[in-house]
Amino acid sequence: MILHYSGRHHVDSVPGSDAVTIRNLRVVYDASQGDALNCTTLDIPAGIRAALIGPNGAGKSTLLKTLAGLQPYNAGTVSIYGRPVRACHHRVAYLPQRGEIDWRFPITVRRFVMTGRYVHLGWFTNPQRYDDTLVEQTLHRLGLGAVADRRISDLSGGQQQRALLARAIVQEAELLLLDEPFNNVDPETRLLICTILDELQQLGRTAIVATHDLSRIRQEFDLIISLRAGAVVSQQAAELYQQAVVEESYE
Amino acid sequence: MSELWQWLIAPFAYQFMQNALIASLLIAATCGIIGSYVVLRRLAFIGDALAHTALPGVVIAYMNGWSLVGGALAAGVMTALGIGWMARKSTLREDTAIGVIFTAMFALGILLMSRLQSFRDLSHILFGNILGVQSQELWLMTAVALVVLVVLVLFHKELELTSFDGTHAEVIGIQSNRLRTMLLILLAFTVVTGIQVVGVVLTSALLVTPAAAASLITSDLRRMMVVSALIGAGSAFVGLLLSYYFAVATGAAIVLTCTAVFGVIVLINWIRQR
Repeated sequence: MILHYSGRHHVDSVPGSDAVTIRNLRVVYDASQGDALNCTTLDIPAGIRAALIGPNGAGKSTLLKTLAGLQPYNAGTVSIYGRPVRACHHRVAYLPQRGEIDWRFPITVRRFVMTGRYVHLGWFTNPQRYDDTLVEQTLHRLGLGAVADRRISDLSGGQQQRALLARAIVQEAELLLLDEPFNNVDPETRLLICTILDELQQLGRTAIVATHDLSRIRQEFDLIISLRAGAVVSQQAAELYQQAVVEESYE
Repeated sequence: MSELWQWLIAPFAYQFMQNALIASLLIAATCGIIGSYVVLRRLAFIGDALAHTALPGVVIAYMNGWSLVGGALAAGVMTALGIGWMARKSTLREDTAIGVIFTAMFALGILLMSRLQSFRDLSHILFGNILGVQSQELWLMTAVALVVLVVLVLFHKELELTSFDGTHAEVIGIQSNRLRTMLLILLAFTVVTGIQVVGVVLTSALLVTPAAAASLITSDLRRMMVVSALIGAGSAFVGLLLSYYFAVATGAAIVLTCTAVFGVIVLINWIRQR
């Protein structure tokens, strides 16, 4: 018997629904500053890799936080696989910007990654053999096997990002929300993250990635969503994407 | 060898020394364990505040002839809930709000106390009275220690997670605020028993110093809790002996022993890193 953290844990997704459906969403932090997010329509199909681009303050993080259920919104509707936000915690994994975690906390890399399993364990249950095996495999897949027993404070920036991704993988989430995963990481880590996202896509998972790094964006993503001042200014297939549009959004 | 043994056990021929030993080992170990969270979640100031706000609870209980420990517990739990509430509602910074409330509560306690005939009990509350622990209080302390331990074990993985990554906890549906309030209530329980050993003023030392020392030598929260409990209990034992043989205040002797252990560990760390 599992005591879930949230009573609404086992809500099945609506068959054939998009991963994300947003209608008339408004998020306001401070009334005098205008809308942090004002998004009339956004549909992200299941099973694709979407990039969120735009200058700082465009609302990329706010959008990801809203989808993760961390950011209350003022108006509109947001559905994840056809269900309200927070109706299915196990299905959504959120990778915050690295600064949001206390990396000095005394915990090993292995145990840190294990926290991705907690949503399936619930209260009063410790990890079982299946959880251990999955964590072990994922650690090795992400090249963290050698540092598994080290403290998370000993990790480099790239290793921290890989540990975050490992945690999302063991969560077996269908929708992955990554906030700036390419910031300050080494080239190998960057390549590895993209390879993993590619593999996850082949398993039918969806990834939404906020990024500033546009160098290989057409190869690394399927859909590119451009935000500016809280609004979606364009949304198009990656292969059709023009560098000019990219540059325009950074003016 | 047998002389050393005699020196170690002779003081405990007295009933009050036996009680003091059991109480201080129990409380120092509990403080050491929950103190690990105090250090890692930066709750030291709140721990201090919880200890100080117990004073008016004790005084009001004393004036009405209620149980002193009960009064302290009630005040501590109310403070813990109040801090949790204030942290969510107030626009003031949390430490500012705590600073305002706890000094006011402490002042209220002193004010009420000054209206009583006798100031004799005040020093016991301020500086602890471990040598006056009664057998029935021992039971209460044991109960508190057990409750704290059982809850910390049951909620270990969630308390650990919310301590370093509240965001992930929220995403998977854990309400970090409620866990934090629960931890503060446990802390209030612990602090109230800590007051018996070292008093209101020094209780936060039992919470912070052993855990801070343990944090320097371990890389895992569970191990840190064990080491911290051992440092706390060991210091309580040594402090009690020192106070017996040198006729000095017990609470202060225990705290300074903790500090000495902390100092030695810092020194060893410093030498190893050179």
